[in-house]
Parts: sequence; structure tokens; C-alpha cells
Amino acid sequence: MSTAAQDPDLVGRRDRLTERFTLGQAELGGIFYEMAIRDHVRLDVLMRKAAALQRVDAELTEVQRELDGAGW
Amino acid sequence: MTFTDDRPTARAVAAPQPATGPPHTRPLAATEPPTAADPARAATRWEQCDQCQSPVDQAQRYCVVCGTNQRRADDPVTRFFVAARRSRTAVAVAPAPTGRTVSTTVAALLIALLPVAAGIGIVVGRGSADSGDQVIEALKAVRGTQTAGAATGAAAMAPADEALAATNADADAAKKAKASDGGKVEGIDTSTEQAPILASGPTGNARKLEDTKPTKKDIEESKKAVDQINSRKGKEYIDQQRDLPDSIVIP
Repeated sequence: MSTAAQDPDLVGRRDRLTERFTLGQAELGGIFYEMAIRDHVRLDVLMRKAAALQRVDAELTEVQRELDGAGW
Repeated sequence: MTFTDDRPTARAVAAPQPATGPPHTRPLAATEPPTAADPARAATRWEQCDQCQSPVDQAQRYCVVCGTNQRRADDPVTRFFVAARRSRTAVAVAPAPTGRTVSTTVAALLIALLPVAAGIGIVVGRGSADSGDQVIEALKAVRGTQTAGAATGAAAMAPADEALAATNADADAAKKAKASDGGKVEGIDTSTEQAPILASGPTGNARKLEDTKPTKKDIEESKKAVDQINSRKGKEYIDQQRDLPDSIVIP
């Protein structure tokens, strides 16, 4: 894969999605931690957050595939 | 699958602990809001979730009912990401000096070319003036010799002197050739040319006059030159200054 001639817009989008995914994952862990120490684990809230994180993950995978396929 | 963990969990220690302990020892907040029957918890200050208005502890980072982040609470994860972003920005800004170095080099090159541009301007400005061309040629010869002289020392100055002398000879020849033009001193030929030359310039030679005696011819020609000087005015007076003999005998 050639990283020198990648589309800068696509690379920027990939970076933003990566940041969103990282923050979402940390947030999901933080929510669960907060619930666990307070004995108030609510699976529906966690699943909703996990679903949002999964959407970001799927989008990130697609962008990364486009970047890999570009392969100038 | 069954997990066994003998360590005391937050829940296990949370219940008997007072509400002022560290976050992991605090009691459940959201589902059990303070009541009058529980004075210890009633003394605790409660906030409300911005999203669902559920009661949240001051140090609670996420609402356990809706999962919304509580921005009031100190969050080490947020601090970590902010610091990471700042360091990335600093790294991205760091290569900037390379661009400045390139622009500095270009500026230095332009400054170095200024004398060349000035020389071209002089050539263009002077046009076809013979004396100007000769001066420029002499300057070029001297400059070239000085450049070479940086490596070869004083010996390299000889060609420059030769070039200057040649230029002076050309100037003298041109001066004689133009003697018949208007505004010039006509028919003057100084006999003091036999005197030794002290210094040479584009406009003529400076000769040693000490211990030299003017001839009768010198006196007559000098008188003629003085008369011509006195008879010219304005631009003619200035122009004739260029074509005076090397020496004029004062009667």
C-alpha cells in the first residue's frame, strides 16, 4: 500500500472516525464502570451505546478499505 | 461460564462507607435519590443529569440511567485525550522551520543578486556613452580580478592594473578623437606629458609638476585654454571641464 499519494480528504475522514471510535470505546467502558460501582448496570443503555460504536466501527472499516484499495 | 472473584468489589464496600469517600466506594446514586429517612445521604449534594434529569453524584462521570457523560466531573480519560491532541498538534507545527529555511535561502540569494541587478541598471541607464562603458569595463575587470585575488593574493592584482591602464589609454584616445567637437579645448597639446605620471584615472593622468618648467608653447596653450574656460557658460562650461589638459600653466 502506498501511503504517499492517498486522498487527503479520505485520510482526514479516517482520522476523525478513529478519534470518534476511540472516544466511544472509552466512554462505553466509563459508563459500565460507573454502573458497576453503583450496582446499577443497565444493559439496554450499554447496548445502545455499543450499537452507536458499532456504526462508527463499520464506517471506519469502510473508509480504511477505500484507502487500502486506492493503492496508487 | 461462572466468574469467581474473591476481591472486595465496589458494591461490597460501597454500602457501609460514608458518602464522602472516593468514587469507587460511594453508594448507588441514580436509582436511590436522597430521602429524609437517610440523613447521611441527604447531606450529600446531588446534581441532575442534563439528558434525563436523573440525580447524579458530583463525581459521577456518566449517568447510569441514560449513559450521558457528565462534564462537570473530573475525567482522566478526557484529560489524556486532550493532552494527546495537543502533542499531535505540536508535532504537526514543528516542521514549519524547514519552510522558513527555504525562504531565508531564497531571500539571501536575491540579496546576493542585487549588485548584478544594479550593474545591469547602470549599463542600461548609461546607454551608449563611451566613457560609461569604459568605466563599467574597468569595474568588471577589477571585480573579476578581486574575485580571483581572494585565492591568489596580491599577485592577482596586476591584471586589474593592466585592465585599468588599458581603459585609461582608451579614454585618452577617445579624448583626443573628440577634441575637434564643439565645446572642447581645441588644439591643446600639453608638453608636460613628458613629466612622470603620479596617478591615472578614466579622465586623464595626474603628472608630477614639481621641478618642471613650462615651455613657451605650454604657456600659450594654457592661456588659450584659460580664455576658453572663461568664455564658456552653463552646460558648455561643465562639458569643457572634461577635456582640459592635464596641466595648465598659470601665466
